[in-house]
Amino acid sequence: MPLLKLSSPHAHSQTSTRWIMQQVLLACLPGILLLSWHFGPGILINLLLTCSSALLAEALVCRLRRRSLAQLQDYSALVTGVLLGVCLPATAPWWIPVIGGLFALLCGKHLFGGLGQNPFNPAMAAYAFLLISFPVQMSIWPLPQAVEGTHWLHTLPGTDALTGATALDAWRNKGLLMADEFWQSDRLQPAMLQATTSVALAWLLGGLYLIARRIIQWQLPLTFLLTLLVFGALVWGLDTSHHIPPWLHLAAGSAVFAAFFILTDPVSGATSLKGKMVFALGAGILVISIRTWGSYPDGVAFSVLLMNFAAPAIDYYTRPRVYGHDKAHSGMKSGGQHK
Amino acid sequence: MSTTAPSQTAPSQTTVSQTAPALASSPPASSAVSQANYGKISADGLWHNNPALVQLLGLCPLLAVTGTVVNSLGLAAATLLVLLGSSLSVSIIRNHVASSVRLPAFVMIIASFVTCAELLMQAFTYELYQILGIFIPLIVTNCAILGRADAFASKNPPLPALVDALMVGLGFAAVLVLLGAFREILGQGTLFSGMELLFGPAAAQWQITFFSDFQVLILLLPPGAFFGMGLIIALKNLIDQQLKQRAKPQPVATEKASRRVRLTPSA
Repeated sequence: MPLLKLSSPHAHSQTSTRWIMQQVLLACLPGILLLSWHFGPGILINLLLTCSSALLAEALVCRLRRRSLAQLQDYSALVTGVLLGVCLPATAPWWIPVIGGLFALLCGKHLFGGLGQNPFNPAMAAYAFLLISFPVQMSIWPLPQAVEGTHWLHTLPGTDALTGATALDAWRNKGLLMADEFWQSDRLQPAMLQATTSVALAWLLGGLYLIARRIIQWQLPLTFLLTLLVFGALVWGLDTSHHIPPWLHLAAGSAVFAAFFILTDPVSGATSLKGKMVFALGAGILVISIRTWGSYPDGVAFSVLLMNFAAPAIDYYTRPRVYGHDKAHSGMKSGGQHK
Repeated sequence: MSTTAPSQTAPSQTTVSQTAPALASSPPASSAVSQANYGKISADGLWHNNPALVQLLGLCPLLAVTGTVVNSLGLAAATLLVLLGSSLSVSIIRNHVASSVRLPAFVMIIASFVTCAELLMQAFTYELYQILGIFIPLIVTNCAILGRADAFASKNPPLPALVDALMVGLGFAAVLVLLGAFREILGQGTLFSGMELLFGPAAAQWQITFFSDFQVLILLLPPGAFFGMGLIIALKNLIDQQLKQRAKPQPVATEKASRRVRLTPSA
């Protein structure tokens, strides 16, 4: 290969890690702005803490491995910090984002060898770690500011914030209420649902920007969201009075965010386009299953981690056809000839 | 499972099958091992061939019940007792059991000792027995025990077999207790809590509280055991690396004569 003479014209690509990460950060902006508009400045404080602890951890590892600190400039630690920060509840105590940021970088990324080596999405690994370790602090969300008297500028005297259940939490704890009774009760503030829906739309906007910039492929989020709708509708049809309606799967929780920003992680996901679609399909089925039958109200982080486990196997069975061959050599029959 | 065990078990099994017909008449290995090097047996059991850190055997109870030091100690004591008894018995009957039926025989012996340990714990430390639950009967499936019976005790006289069992058992116990302490301190902020379950009411005051009102649930759950285990194995490898580097300067002088570069990784 080195002997191959290449002559001009060359197509130049500006896709460096740094550029991609900058675009991802840019695409996160609308979601972050809406989140902090609805849930107060806690979101921004969380982001500040996750990002600074993530950068600190990255710097520490660079020191330990005697590498140049210039690695910090590729923004990847910052992106991990942002992706983790937006998942955390705005009322979380300060040590939750700090532990999360440190865990994401140290255990999620650098224990496995650093950028490009991590089998799991670091942000989701840290989120799952926090959710399992500190279930109480991780499931209290403040009410969005549209609810009377909960705006963070003028909360009720003597209180820090009013908290309420997120849509999936409320549904998980609705007990024996039928669906229409649930909607008539005050277990779920309509403002909470409006807030999460508008935030989901903001993530969608950011995701569309990433697709337009060709940083992510549109097939993956589409497969994931369609799986949520179709499989969600099937499961909902089994028991319409107790299972989550499919539209709520998209409007509540982190589904849209995960579709565009988490599942599209190029390192911990599958590689080929077909593989990515299988990856998204599996994640969607897992999300619905966990939300319907699991013990946690939301299962996006766990689904992503489980599919990260499966990504090597998916890659093994979805190898693309090599140029010059009639068929793709994938699965057991390939005998590993294209390693 | 035996494939994960380096060096020790695999070659030994071949020697057993080769020498099997001769076993009944004269034990071939016993003369060589009669001057057994107890220092080497101890170093292997405790460090170089540690069942938990190197052979990675017996991980199921190791990961499941090491939430606190007292749980670890309870399991370690039971395992040590079974290991001592089974190694001694296997060594005593080693010349009277045909090689084709040796594994069932060993398992029966181990199972009897596990039953003894279970009944003893039921009698004297009933609460701890209830906490450890299924993992006491499951000691029977601990590959480290069957591994020692087959790889060492079945080829050696009783005394070396007993020393080997003691050292392997202590090596396993050390890892259990270390992991238990790690998870207890970082998981619930205490050390030596609940020791009265094992050592009587006086031990209730042994508890050291580092952080009160503190809980990191994941470290008390099985994932925490994997984190801790990984860190302990990494620590052992780091220490081994340091020892190797410290020992290096001497062989360097002798190797200077030949300029050959070693391409294969040294085993």
